[in-house]
Amino acid sequence: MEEILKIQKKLKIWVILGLALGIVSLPLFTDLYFIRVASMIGIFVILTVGLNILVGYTGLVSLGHAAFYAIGAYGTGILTTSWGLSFWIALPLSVALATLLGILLGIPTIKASGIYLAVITICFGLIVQLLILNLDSITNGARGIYNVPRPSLGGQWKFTSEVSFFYLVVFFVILTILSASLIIRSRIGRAFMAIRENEVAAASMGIPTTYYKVMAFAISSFYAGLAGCLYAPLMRYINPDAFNIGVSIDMLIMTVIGGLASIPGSVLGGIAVYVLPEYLRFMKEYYRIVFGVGLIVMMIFMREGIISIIDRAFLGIANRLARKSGE
Amino acid sequence: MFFQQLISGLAIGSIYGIVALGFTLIWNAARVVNFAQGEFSMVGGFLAYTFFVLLGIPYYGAFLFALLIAGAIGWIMDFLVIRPLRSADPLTVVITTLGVSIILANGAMFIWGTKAMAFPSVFGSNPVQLGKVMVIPENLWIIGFTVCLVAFFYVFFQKTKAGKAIRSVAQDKETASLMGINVNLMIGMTFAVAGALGAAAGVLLAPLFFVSTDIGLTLVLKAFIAAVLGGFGSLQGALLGGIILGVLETMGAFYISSTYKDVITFTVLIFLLIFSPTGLFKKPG
Amino acid sequence: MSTILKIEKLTKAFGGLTAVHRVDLEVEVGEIRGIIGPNGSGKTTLFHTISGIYSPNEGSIEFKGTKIQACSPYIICSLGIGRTFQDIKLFPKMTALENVMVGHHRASPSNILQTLFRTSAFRRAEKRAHEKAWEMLDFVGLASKAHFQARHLSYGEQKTLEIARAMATQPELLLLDEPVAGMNPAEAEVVVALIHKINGQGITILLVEHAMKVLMGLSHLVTVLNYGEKICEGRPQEVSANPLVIEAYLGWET
Repeated sequence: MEEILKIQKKLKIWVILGLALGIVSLPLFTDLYFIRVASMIGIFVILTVGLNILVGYTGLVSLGHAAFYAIGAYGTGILTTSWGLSFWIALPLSVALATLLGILLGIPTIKASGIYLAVITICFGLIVQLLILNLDSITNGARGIYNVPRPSLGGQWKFTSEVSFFYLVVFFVILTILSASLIIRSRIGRAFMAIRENEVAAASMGIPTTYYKVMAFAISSFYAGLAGCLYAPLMRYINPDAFNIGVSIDMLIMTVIGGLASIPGSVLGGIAVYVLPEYLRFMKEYYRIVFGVGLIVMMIFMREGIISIIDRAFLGIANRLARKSGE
Repeated sequence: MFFQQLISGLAIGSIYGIVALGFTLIWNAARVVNFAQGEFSMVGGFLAYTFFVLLGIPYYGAFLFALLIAGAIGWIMDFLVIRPLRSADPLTVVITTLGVSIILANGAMFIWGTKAMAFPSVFGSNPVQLGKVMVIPENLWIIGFTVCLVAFFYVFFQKTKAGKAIRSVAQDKETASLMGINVNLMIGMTFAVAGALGAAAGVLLAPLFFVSTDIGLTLVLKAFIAAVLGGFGSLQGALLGGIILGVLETMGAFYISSTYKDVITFTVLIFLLIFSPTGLFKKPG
Repeated sequence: MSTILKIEKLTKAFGGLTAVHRVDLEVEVGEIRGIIGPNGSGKTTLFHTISGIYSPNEGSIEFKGTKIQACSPYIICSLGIGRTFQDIKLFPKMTALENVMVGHHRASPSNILQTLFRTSAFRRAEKRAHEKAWEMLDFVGLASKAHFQARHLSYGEQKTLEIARAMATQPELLLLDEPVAGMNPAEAEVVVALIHKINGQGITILLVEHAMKVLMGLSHLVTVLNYGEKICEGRPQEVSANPLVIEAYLGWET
């Protein structure tokens, strides 16, 4: 059994390396439109990985996470346009604001949990979207913010081309996946999971549960804010519509479909839910219905997410390789 | 003017309350957060439109047919989708109901198109003199219907065998099944009733707003909030929560600036949920 | 001999139902105290109140001189009280090793920056947690199951794992809630030996158990509860001969 697991691990490493290579060389064999889509996928991967830490690892449901995505986007949008600040200053400021608000949203977990917490997150998301819509003087309200500049390096060179911006996104995606993995494979990650598995037991074993729940909110909102900071310069235009509750729901669906408590799962989830509409374009109006059906079928037969299928496939292949080398 | 706004608020609040009622019934019976509840209303509105406006069937007949069909959809939803997931964890079921809502919303778009349709007011949408005040008859119909609905449900849950069976399933599934109650049947019936309730709300709503395919999400969110506001799990609470939400919304829009009224509502709600998580009303026992 | 745990007039009620009523309890360091009583006599409620899951309506709990009745569970754990649960509250999808490592949480601190940059402080703390966890698994005899998910362990193994996890919290007082319930005599014997070993390390034990022979055999002193009240206290032989106790247990199968 040990042998098979080792082979499975090696297989995974090869596949990841191969995919990484493929992603890095993507611009060589696709057109600019798809590069833009790929950048958007990268942004969704950051969102999904972040949300998974909260939902998959810690077991807390948030239906308002588009709020942090919005804060990152609007923070960057406002600071780089009206305030004329550099992207590299706007980013940490916006992400910090998103994280602070994430901590704020985490505080109710002292008393609220389950359904009540979910409704609180819904209200929070609605409040943020409404504020963005109504604080006209700062956010330009429903009209949105135009001409969000692409970041530049050293004031000289700009990430104006889609390809260069794609690599910028890839850079942040790698940072996200790395940092999230480091957090999960640690005492903090174990605390998160313990809280998810049995909160009473976790507290009885010495884990300050509220502290870690707030931390989970903070971390997930950090990543959501980061994603927003990339979204604004990618699209170069943002408006409140892109951050409604539908987006929060989509984020949750992506996280669950990819696989809860799995970082590779989140990568898959972010890719799948964004790529599918592109490939199923031919279905046109049927597409969303098929998506809905697919969602239900997945929950009945494959609720551990896409990653569980992939994991099993790898296990099967590893099995066969082990048997072959045994002959 | 105040009175007219109040009646208006009570009317829309009753509609929220009815949706919240269906939502809560499903939660009580099956511990499911039904994100498709709002779509039942959307479908109800379109069904009534088809029967009443397109086919010329009399209003009450169209209303009834809409309820029956939506009830059937509710039953089918439980049978096909929720029953296989009886023992799944809540998040899985939530995603599933989201899937159903996507199917219903897009299916409706497929059948009826994406344009919003106008639904004529059967009772009159212009204010009439009633004693010393002016009221819109349509609102009175909505409120009156809701009152009858409440009376009907009271009798149903307290006096009839089916109603009591559903209540016992909501309280303790295992014991109910040990007493010989067919739990699956009861849950299916609850979904059917919730579907019909949703549709009723949708038909009542139709003349107030256009019949459109995108009201589902907003309605279910309001229902969720109303249900939690009134004390999650309480049927009276759900109805009252809806009414309070409706009145606050309408009065707020009229008297305070309509831009920030929602922000204030949601902020107040968050504080309520933190400090009084069982809602505004204490659950008995 | 010093008192490690002093409970005075402890009362816990749920609505109209009083589960624990004015219970006094004093436990010495190094003692094994058995708590017995028919079902519903308040034993688990007592444990939950001591470990901070419930807060009492009345009365006080003093641990090593500190009043803890108003403390939350994680603080009580950090003060030195560990426990197991009657209804097994393991972390099902985490491995046995991870379960025990969680017990070691407060003893191997590291913050998020240390975690992200994998500093030497972090790596030392993780190593310590790993080592301690293996030590505990060895101690209870579950080392071979370290990488199995807790939910895939047998019932007896799960109960034993709970003890390992509780031990990882480095307790001075250990609350064991029905540690041999549902076990066959062979498994129970192993756990009894384990409890002796633990006590031998100087750890005070509060033991709730329905298996009379086990409890009477282990305990130095026994406290008897009935309907939430203490009806008797003394050495095992005295308690088993007490008519009040026998009456409470009339018809009760051991």
